[in-house]
Amino acid sequence: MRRPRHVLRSRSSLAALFVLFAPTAACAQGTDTTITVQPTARIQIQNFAGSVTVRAWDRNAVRVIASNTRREDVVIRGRDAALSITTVSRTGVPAPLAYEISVPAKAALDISGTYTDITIEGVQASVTASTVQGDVRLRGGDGVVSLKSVQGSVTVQNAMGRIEVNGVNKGLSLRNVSGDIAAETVNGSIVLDGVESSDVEAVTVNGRVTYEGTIRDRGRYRFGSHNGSIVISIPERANATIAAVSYQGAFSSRFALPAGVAVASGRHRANFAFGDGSARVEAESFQGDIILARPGDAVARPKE
Amino acid sequence: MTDIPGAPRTAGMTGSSDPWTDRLSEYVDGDLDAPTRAALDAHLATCADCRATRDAIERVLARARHAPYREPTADLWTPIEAAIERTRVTPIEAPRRQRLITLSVSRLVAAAAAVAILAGGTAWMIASNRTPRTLAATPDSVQAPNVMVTPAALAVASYRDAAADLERLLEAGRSTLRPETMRVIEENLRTIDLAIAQADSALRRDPGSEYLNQYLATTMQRKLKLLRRAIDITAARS
Repeated sequence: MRRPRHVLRSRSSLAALFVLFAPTAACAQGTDTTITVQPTARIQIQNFAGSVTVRAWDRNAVRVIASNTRREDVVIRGRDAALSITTVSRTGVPAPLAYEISVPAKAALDISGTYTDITIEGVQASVTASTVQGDVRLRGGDGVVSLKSVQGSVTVQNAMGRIEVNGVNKGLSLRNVSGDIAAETVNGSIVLDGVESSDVEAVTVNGRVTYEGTIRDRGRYRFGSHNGSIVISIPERANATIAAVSYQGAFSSRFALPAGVAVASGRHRANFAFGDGSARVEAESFQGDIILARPGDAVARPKE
Repeated sequence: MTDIPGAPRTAGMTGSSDPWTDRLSEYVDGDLDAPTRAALDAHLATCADCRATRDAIERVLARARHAPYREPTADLWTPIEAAIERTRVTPIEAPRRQRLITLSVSRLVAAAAAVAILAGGTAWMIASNRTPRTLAATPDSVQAPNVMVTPAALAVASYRDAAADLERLLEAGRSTLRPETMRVIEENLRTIDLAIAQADSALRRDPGSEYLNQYLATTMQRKLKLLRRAIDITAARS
């Protein structure tokens, strides 16, 4: 007995449709959802690989747009005060995923990834972001700001609070930042520009350290490099005790030291004071030079 | 560009023709031997410029001593003392220089740094916040005649033990990281190793340098910190 032709046609058509559209459907899954949260909610985001871009907006809600396929689920848990966004793979190691997330400006962020680029713009709250292989870029941030990357660069702009930046294999750049600042890397330069702080520490092993910012009375500023130069801007009216140490480098100033400045020199160091000397500026380079400059002369700024 | 007096490359170029000017920092630090100190004392009695410079140096150092001080997070002295006891050596003959038979400030700093490395994180604090003079004012037992200690060597030995342990842990977690990431971490560890080797070499040439003692300790601490961070990453991935 022959089967009805239309049934065969129907089955083959279904199979053809499956073959043709199944992969497309998986690729086109995507996520676009919006969840109401409190304006000061804590948002936790984990993305194993790919990118996370977070932008502040003026709504008390979080919008998550992700490029996931059917092989990955974007799991969003919580609402109101705390929200977590994670990627769960159905097939083992998650594929690279691009997240575009909008959050309230006052929402605190905790973002982590492994092979992930992280970009955050406009947030006015605490930010923690860490990745292994990827760049971290932050514009904004207020409160505790902690940024880490092993293989990527870290750049911060317009942040304030207690700022801690850690790199390993690339340089660090902090511009227009204020508060207590700690920056450390191994193989890269550190640029601190437009800093307003009483407490700065910037140390690298293989790279240059440049500082352009305030030297506040009773402040503490510490800069170190193994084989890079250290360039520090000293405002004209600064009250600072300078303690410069170098084993193989030289000490120099791009401006004439004011009359009356007594230099206490030793085998590898020079100490002297400007004004009442209440701030302490320590610069230490094993092989590099230590250079004092006036504001505007320390950091080479990128062209606008 | 103005050279700042005291630069290693321009040592002795203080702008003054007075040969004593370059020795004033050592004088204030108490680093001069007795005959040189006596000679400089005699010179100071007759040279107003040098007296003024000496006074200025002392003012600078006084300011430095007022830098904020943070208490160590652990009792450092007990393990330092124990470490000193372990390395106690009876000299065959009386040392010719006092420096060899006392625990100098820089060596005490190095010893403290060694313990701090083991304790996990206060070497930097010691090197940067606690002035040598403060350390020198700590227990009287530091002045131990007829005792020759080598805390710098102790620091290196302690560091090597700690680094070896951490390197084993990192190796155990190697498979959790991409080869490229592991390569980058290892390259950066080698960068720090090179810095340590250079500091160590310099210290061998200049064992009395307080700066080099401190620098070696903080650089070793930096490597341990990177190792811990890398291990944390492997642990998070496993």
